[in-house]
Amino acid sequence: MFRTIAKVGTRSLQRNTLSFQQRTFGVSPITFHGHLKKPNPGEELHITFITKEGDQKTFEVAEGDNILDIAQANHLDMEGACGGSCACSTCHIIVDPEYYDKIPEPDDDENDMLDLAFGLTETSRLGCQVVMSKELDGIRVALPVLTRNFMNKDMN
Amino acid sequence: MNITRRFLSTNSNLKKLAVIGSGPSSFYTILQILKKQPNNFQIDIFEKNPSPFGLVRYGVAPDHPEVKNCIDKFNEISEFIKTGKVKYFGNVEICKDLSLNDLYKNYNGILYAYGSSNGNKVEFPGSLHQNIINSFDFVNWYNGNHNYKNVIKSLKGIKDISIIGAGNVAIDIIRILLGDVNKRWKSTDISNHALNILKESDVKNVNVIIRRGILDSKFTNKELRELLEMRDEGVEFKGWNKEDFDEQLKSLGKLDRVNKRRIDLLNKYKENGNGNGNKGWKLNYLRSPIGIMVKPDGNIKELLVKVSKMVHNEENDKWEYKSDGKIESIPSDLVILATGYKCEPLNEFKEIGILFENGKIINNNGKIENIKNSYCVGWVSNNSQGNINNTVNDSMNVAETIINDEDLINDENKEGRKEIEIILKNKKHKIVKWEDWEKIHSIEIDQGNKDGKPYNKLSFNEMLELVK
Ligand SMILES: Cc1cc2nc3c(=O)[nH]c(=O)nc-3n(C[C@H](O)[C@H](O)[C@H](O)COP(=O)(O)OP(=O)(O)OC[C@H]3O[C@@H](n4cnc5c(N)ncnc54)[C@H](O)[C@@H]3O)c2cc1C
Ligand code: FES
Repeated sequence: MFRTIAKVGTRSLQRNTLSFQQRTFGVSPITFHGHLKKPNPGEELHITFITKEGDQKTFEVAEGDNILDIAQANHLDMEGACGGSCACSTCHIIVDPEYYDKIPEPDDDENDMLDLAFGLTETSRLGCQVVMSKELDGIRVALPVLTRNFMNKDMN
Repeated sequence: MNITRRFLSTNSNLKKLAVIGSGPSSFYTILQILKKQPNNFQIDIFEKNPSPFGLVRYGVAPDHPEVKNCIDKFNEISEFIKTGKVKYFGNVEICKDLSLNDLYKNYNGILYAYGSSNGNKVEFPGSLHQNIINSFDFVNWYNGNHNYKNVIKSLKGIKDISIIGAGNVAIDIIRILLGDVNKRWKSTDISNHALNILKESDVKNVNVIIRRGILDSKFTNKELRELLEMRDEGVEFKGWNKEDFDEQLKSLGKLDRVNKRRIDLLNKYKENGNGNGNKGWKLNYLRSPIGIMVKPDGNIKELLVKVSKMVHNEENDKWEYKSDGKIESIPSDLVILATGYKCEPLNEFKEIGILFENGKIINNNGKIENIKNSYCVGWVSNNSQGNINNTVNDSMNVAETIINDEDLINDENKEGRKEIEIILKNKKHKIVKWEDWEKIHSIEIDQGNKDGKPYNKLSFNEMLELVK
């Protein structure tokens, strides 16, 4: 599925119409590592990641956590090479269009780094810059999959 | 007894992988292999310098500490060093201290991750003048590689500098030349020799000379914005030759995201008027160097450039470069060539049959096709292109290629580091181990902190003296 997204490329930015298929999966037990806060009872927010393998993983998180920290604390494949300083774009995520507009708009710094993300889509964001809020409860984000050939093409 | 036997039997099952180079591509690939297959590999890293991390240490600019955060991840290698899964052989240059033959005899797989070793050159009459400097040397100078300490002896009396080429390296260099020493550089890991020279620098104007047009600019918007924002530091953007592109931009209409944002950015800073700084920089598109004018004392006075223009080709509806016939002279006391870094083949490649073309090892998804169990990753696999983001993705793919290579999985047992250590010992060659590097770096931190810096990079000789 994500190979198709990747092919959209930076040139023709189309509103991505991925099917963020609705399947039912259990919510993982809450684990707290690293930077993550413990949500107050009754105030848990939910986020679902669609991994490169196509699996869906849902977590209960607290308001104020950013998506990079959430992904890393749960051992998902998100590099975060610059440690969340908006300087590498290795935390690129593709947001379900339904939720995209609920996130505050990217600032210039984030847009500059998105320029360099592979397989940019119109609902791309940087995980380290998106912070969980009540409006984002239930958000679904996908981790892009890239082939090497695609990268090389993108780079030229 | 039991323990020894168990160790031997597992050790012989391990695939021995030799990795040449310890830049980001090396670390990311190794960590990914060990994440996916913690029990199948024994990996040795060979690095020609005593210190690891390649261009993260000797390339990335001192005022970009956030880019260097990736070192935190690389340091996760310590866990694997402790268990012997990985060994670091610093100060071991392949094709000098060890031959590729030594490696192929003792390892099941070889990963080439040795990056670039030089800067691209541009040749024109006078291009060998001593005041024409390659960005590769200049970057090593400010980034504390002491072998390049004498690249710049003084910037006193140097007012005008031309930089040929406009990638991110050129932009890094403009920040170095024009940035406020106290505000921007004093508290970074910049070399003390560069800091002292920059304090006394007279540089006022930097002209960037770019062969191609605005839509082919190589620098990223992030670096461009950072430079434009230095207006607040008294560094003025003196414009670009917009008029040469008016017609082209008008006829193209809608631009791709990156170019649109780039042009908006340039216009915004130009239209917002000039800062009050007297230092500044300018982008000169459609100019390529053809020679220099020299003063009676032998120093450079001007850089001569030939001008081209954008012409619309009606037949294929494309915009093309055409000579304008004009020649301009640009005042320049110093010229810096920043037309990219260059990877070179190792000198045993011909002998063993590895093909190297267009600045990279010929490969398919990181696999070197004509020779078994050989792989490449990072800049040496893609002609010195891309940033850490590219390198991360590339490394993930190459790790996948390696762990799925049937030839490698089914290869016979090889001795790995055991034989290699004997060879190096017989040569009385000094190896910098990971623990040695940790000790070296802790001394760098202590010394730097005294100067209010995160660390001061030691010279390679100083490092080697610290190693028993
Ligand atoms: C000036 C400059 C600034 C940059 N700034 C940024 C930035 O701000 N952000 C960003 O994302 N990217 C930046 N980059 C790009 C980034 O540095 C590269 O993407 C990355 O370093 C490539 O990694 P690599 O492992 O392929 O090569 P390198 O980092 O070059 O590593 C290669 C290693 O191999 C070693 N080696 C070479 N020959 C041998 C041999 N024969 N035997 C043993 N070892 C050998 C070298 O000493 C070196 O340590 C910059 C690059 C440059 C040049
Ligand atoms: S972690 Fe580097 S940009 Fe988000």
